[in-house]
Amino acid sequence: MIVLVVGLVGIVAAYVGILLGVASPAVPMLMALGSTAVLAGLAQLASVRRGRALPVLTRTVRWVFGGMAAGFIAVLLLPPPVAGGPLLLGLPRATSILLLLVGAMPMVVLPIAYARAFDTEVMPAEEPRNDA
Amino acid sequence: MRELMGIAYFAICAAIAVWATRRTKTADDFFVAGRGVGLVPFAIAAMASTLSGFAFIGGPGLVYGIGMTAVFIILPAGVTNTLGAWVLGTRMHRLGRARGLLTVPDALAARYRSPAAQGLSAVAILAGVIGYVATNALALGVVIDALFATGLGPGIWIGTAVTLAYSVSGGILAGIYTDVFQGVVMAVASTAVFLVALDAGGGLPAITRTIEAADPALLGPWGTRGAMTALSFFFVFAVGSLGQPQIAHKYYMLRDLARLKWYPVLMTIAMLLAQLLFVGVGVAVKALVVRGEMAPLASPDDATPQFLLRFVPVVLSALVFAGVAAAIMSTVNSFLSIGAAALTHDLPRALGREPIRQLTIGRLWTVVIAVLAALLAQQAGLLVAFLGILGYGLFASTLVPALAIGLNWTGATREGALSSIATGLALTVGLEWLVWSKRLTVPQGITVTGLTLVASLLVFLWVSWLTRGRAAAQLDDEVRRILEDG
Repeated sequence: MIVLVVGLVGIVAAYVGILLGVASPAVPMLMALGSTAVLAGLAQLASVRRGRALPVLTRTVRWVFGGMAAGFIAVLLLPPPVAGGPLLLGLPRATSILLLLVGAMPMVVLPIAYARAFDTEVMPAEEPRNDA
Repeated sequence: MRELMGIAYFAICAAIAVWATRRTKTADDFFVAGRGVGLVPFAIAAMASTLSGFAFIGGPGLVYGIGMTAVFIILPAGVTNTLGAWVLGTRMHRLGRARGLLTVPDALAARYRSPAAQGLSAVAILAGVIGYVATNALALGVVIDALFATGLGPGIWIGTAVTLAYSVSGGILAGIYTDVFQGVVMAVASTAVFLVALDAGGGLPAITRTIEAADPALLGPWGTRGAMTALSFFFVFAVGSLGQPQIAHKYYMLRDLARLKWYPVLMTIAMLLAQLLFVGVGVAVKALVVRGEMAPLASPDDATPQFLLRFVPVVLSALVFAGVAAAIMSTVNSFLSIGAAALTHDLPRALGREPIRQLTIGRLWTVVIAVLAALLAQQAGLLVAFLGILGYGLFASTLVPALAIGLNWTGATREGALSSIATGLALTVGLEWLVWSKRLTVPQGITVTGLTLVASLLVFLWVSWLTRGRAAAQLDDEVRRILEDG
């Protein structure tokens, strides 16, 4: 819950920065980290059973959303792209880093981690366990 | 050829509808597909009802115009395809089965023991549904006019009549199984056109070099609108996805909870394939225009139609037109179902009356909503444009706090839920109206939905904290068990 609230405060700060016309690189940084924190907070809130954090889901939240935050920070710190600059996977390097860490990485890791934790952590004990 | 493919597509939809109609005998069948949907139809239907015609027409146009900024609309799908199941899936499914729930407002009523929460959320859903259905009816009219040269007005009525035929007769059961066919058409069309687009542009590195020579920012990490706009899109479409009722209420329909295990994997694959066209056509057309191989577009929305006409074999372009119709019809069917359920089931319950003859009355309300939306769609460019932008934001700001947080936090209170739903409803309608009527300008980098979503989340947490002493007494034992056990 704390992560969720901190994330929301970050987003509010970023929006206030825009409304006040602040042109600091801290503004998009707050928005990026705030959005990631809100998502991580929601996922973590759903990874608790009877007050106990579920280990596989909790580890997944930390690594995936930590990786996304790292991707946002890295790209916000890189210089803006110029014509003829280095390409990675056919796109400007910064764009590829962003797509890999914020798009592809969670797209691959989250569904697999969820399926891996499903039988032991997600399914309540009293539910019938059929083959899907 | 396009006409033949169009006729074949509509005929297959009709055949599936006839099959499903024979199986629709109760309100459970009509609104939650008899709670008997398997994993594959569940995942493909969720994908098909998530993506509207925007994924095929508006999205590629936006990528053509503002580059990577527009990609942030679909980028959160990497997270949200799993997060929906993670945050909502098990609890919605178990609550639905334990209490016989039919709708998302039903879940809020059960969670907070509050008919007012059910009524208020039903009003928000209804407002969003009419907007969504009207804009999609207009888009379907455009597609039918393009396929059969009917004219826009008759196209709207023909499209509405076809969608209505299976929505009224078979309800969401017909919708789910036509969605499976429509979802496959969307994924195949999108993947094939993506490959043609890359080939037409000379491969991704050549496309990139061409575009960056003209405008380096377009394929830069944030696109031409900058980091704040891109990140606002990311926040709105990541967090807001948890409040979309056409997806959330599908968790009631799963045959059993064990089937949820592989849903995120399947949903991710389906969404990835269906969204390839969104990016591929946008960047390829931009490169072709920069090289002078295509004339500059009169409107960004011409990106897909112009590309199909110039570079895509006629059979494939016909498939894409079918894909666009599929995307629109599957979305309309889902929204007609939840709108009819709000009028048939949620509002009577909120007013203290037990719903009666839900199957018959549900069918009647489906017709009323569709006809009203088709009438609104005839006013293209005016009211329908406002209603179209209202839907997603209304669902996000009114439902995310009470539903996504409320189902995972026993400390949430009825007062928090009611305050956040009212805040989301009033702020979204008010601010969107002021912006649309040009009485208010929002600075670049901020979206109205972003503002209203943050406001309703903060109000929900703050009021729940102020009234935290009442939280325990507002939870039934059975609901508490489901919330705590997942």
